[in-house]
Amino acid sequence: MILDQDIIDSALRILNSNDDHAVTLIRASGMDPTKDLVGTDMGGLRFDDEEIYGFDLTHADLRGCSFTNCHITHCKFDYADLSGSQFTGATIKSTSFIEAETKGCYFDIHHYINFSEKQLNDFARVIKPSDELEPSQTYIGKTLLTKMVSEQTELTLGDAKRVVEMTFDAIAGALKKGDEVRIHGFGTFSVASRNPLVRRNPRTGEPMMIQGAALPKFKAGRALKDALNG
Amino acid sequence: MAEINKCPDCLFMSIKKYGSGRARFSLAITAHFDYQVIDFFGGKLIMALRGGDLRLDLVNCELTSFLVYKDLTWSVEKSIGVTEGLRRRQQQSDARQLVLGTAPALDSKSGAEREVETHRTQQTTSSFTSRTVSAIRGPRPGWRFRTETQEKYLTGSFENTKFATFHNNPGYHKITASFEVHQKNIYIEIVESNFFRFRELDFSKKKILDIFLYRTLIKKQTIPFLSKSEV
Repeated sequence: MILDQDIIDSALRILNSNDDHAVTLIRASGMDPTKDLVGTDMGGLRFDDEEIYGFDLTHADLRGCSFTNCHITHCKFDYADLSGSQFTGATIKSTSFIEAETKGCYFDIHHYINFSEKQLNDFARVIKPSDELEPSQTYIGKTLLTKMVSEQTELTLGDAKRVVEMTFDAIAGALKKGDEVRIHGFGTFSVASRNPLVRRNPRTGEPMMIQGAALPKFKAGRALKDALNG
Repeated sequence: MAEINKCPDCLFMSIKKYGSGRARFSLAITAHFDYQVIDFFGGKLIMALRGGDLRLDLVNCELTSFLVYKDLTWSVEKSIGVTEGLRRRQQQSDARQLVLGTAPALDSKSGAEREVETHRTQQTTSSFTSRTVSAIRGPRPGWRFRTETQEKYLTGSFENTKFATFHNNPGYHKITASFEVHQKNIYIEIVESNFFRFRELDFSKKKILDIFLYRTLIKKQTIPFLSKSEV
């Protein structure tokens, strides 16, 4: 039986906590997240950059929660309401989402999560990591590149985005000044100039002047070629 | 007929069977929602429902029609505020409060007492409103109740409202209606306290404290059901 003084002490630990992160407060309360959070109202709480392991959030109301960059392992979100919640940048392992409401969720899809078709349709945005690309999808955009950098470096998505953009800006800036950008083992970016040309319009036969231009070029390095060819 | 209402100020529920023929009958539900007062370290907190699931367990009978999504006519007692309500309740009976740390001495009014109170509530009813409840399908069919957007918790009542009709097979049959809640369905507000200054709490602390108070003070009364009625 829990004594009254224990209840007061636990309540005071919550009230006096200097850290208002959800996980810290749950620990301060002495509750067991493997069983005491089932069916709870945790809507709007932030779990950003936290590590949650073994949490049972079955039937929980998690509307508008933020799990950005959260490490989620061996957790249960079965039948939970995740409407409008953020899982961007989260790493999710061995976690179930059976019949969870995912309307308006921001989610990264990992191969170990078996979402239903309805859940997938309800997502506001889905980011697929590069190793999850479907055969028909043959390019990686800036968003995906940002996410990959974030995952590899443990930078936040915002910081990774700035790094990616600054790298592109630096390459473009150097090429604009006429410099070559040599990245050892990867390749060389350079600028070739094309002289003005005179061509004929194939329909009318009239001569046409084509302006000269600076054309960016990329020549792959040996290491990159070797990597592509096994 | 058996009725169990563990927190009858919070929810008082009963079901009745109406049937003209032997093979078919209707199920009517009466429910009254309000708040329950709980003693809390010399202060008081109130507990009320923000929602919940009313589930049916059927023995030897089958659903033939089912209220799927309908406006319920719902009578609401004129709002008198929690403080005034507490004062009135204290005048009525001191025995209707939970005492922390003791056996769960929840309000256990008899059905007759409750009928008198329900009647009194009806007399003071000042407005009628309608709500929608949504149907739950599956092996344990039922209905999901939720507060409207402006409401803190469910208040008011509906009387003998027909929710479903059944076909019963020959022999013994039984319907059990259970009102089931999770912590997310419970509204908690500390209205008096010598220990804590709850109004200054930030959002995260309030949420976690609500879960903690539910687990330590209320959960035993709500698991596996808050109210149950059989016909």
